[in-house]
Amino acid sequence: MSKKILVLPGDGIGPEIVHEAVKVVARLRDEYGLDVDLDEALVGGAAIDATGGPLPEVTLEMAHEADAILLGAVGGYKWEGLDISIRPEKGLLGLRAGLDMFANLRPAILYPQLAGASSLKPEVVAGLDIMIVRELTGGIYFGQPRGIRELEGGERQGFNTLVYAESEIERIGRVALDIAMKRGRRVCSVDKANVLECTELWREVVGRVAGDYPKVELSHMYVDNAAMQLVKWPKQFDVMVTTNMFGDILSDCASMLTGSIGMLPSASLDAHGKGMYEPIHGSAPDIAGQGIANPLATIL
Amino acid sequence: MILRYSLDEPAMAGRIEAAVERVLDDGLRTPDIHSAGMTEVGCEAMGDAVVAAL
Repeated sequence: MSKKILVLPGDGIGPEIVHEAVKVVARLRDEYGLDVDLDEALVGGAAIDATGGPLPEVTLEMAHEADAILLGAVGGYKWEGLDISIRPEKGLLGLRAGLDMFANLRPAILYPQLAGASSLKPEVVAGLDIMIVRELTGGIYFGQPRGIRELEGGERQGFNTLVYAESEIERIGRVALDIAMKRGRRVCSVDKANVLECTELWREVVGRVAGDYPKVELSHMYVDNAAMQLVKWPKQFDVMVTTNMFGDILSDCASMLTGSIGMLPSASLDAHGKGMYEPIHGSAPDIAGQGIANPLATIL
Repeated sequence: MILRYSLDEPAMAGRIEAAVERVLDDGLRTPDIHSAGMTEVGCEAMGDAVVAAL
């Protein structure tokens, strides 16, 4: 049976760059026998203009049925005045939540041809090829209890909760280990196990899951050291796996090592390998329609 | 990435990645990655070049 890709061009430069990526997939389909069906739907500002909301019911239904989703970008000046609940970006959040995509894949690849774009020395970054696997639906960004409360005496106190269940750690660990099997077979799990009990459990569970992958070499690193190593000698890493917040920070750091965000794709995966794929750059409304956007991140 | 991680088509994925490398080797650059001595192209021309390099 043909695999289904749902194409969501979105806003700004989204339609231009997605158009080029679709051309590439269509050529693989027509000339090289790639068995794939392409379908298209509205999301973001384009959907607001057509239907009044950023994530039409029909788009979500089609997303549920697809094997993969190719997204351009959403958002733009035109919709900035809208209430936050119906902004274009809400369409994305709704898609991610509706599809239970808990694994965020953020490759940081620097083609030798573009090594000059990095702020680091070319020999440190040329040929860089890291995959950061970030847990996306748990941890301190979602943990309860959370809030700002008033203490006795009137002073306010802000609080959040870092929480991971074993099952959550295990499934993200497996994603990273599976990916490592398709790459360099090395995984570095990043935590703060010397201070945070939650990541002490993280380290233990990732270690246990790795027992099922005897061909993958697992190492552990504290997040502060990982940040230093990423800048000092990034090519030591193959796959890195980490929590939501640490991954948020480290993946952006790794992207910037390359110096060219117009080249970097990303993916959000669910437990069955279904994924939403998008460039890490935004909708760039300032250059939309000029035909000068870089389609390579979307093609990749 | 779609082909590699969701559609389990690593050979097709490799074809796209190699095509992008070839286009970069040929010196084609969109304005955001342009540098001296390279050929500046727009979005559509870059897409066409990748398709041709598949």
